[in-house]
Amino acid sequence: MSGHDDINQYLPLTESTYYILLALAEPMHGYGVMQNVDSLSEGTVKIGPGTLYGAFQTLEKEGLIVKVGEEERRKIYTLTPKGREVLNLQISRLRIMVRSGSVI
Amino acid sequence: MEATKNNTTTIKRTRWFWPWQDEKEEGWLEEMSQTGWHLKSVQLPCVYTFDKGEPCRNAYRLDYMLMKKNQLDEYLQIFQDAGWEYVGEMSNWRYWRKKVVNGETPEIFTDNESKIKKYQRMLFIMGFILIILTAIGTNMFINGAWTDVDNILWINVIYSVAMLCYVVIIPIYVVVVVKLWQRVNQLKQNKL
Repeated sequence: MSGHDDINQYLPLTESTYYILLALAEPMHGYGVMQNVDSLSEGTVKIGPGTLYGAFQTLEKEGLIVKVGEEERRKIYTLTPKGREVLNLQISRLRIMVRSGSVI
Repeated sequence: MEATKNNTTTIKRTRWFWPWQDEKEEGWLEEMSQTGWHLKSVQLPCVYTFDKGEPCRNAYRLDYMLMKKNQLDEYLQIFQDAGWEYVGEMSNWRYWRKKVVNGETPEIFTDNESKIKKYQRMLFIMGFILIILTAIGTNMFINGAWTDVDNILWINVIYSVAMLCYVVIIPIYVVVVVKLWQRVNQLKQNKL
């Protein structure tokens, strides 16, 4: 495949990945992400450090997030434009899910 | 009297475990903690050093990852920020500990996907070693003059090592790879 990459290949995101990307709409380090996911998800999703470290590695390799700084030993990441696009597509999928589920 | 009591404050235990049985290993370390023995260090070959302390409920978790030096700092920091205490490392296994508070067992992997990836990392490394060993062993058998009794000693020594690979080491690695592969599939079936 040439440089053209299909954004849909990243969808659907897992719950953890969805919240990690959501937290990274603002530049943030790992500790911030863990706390943020806890509050964004109203306590329904917890991110363990092994899961988070792995997610950072994978998402960075996929070009969805990027390192933008360092604070002592903590790396700071944020969404790339591509990451933001993926997140927005996921959100529209979730909207459809909620809308279709509201008939019950 | 206190002073005459057994004053052992450190013990060492050697305990082998297979890479697909890491959860059993975690359970054993947790039991040790409940009897007041807290893991102090790990070193090859599977030697565990424990310090005597107050019995308590700790969660132990093992992670497996090949890591470059420059990645390690970030990795350790994320775990420590999440409240995990780093005990040590032994051939790419990293030992983590955290207190169990209010009966809530903490986890380092909070979803199935990341847990699967941990076993896939092991599978990748073990599979790689298996391929290398098989390649070396096969090459030696094909090119080897087994029947030539006039071979000089060191060549015979190398052939014996190749033989050992075939008879002992390669079957072990095959079992390890199959078991890890089964573990990955078992975890994948947990998925909805």
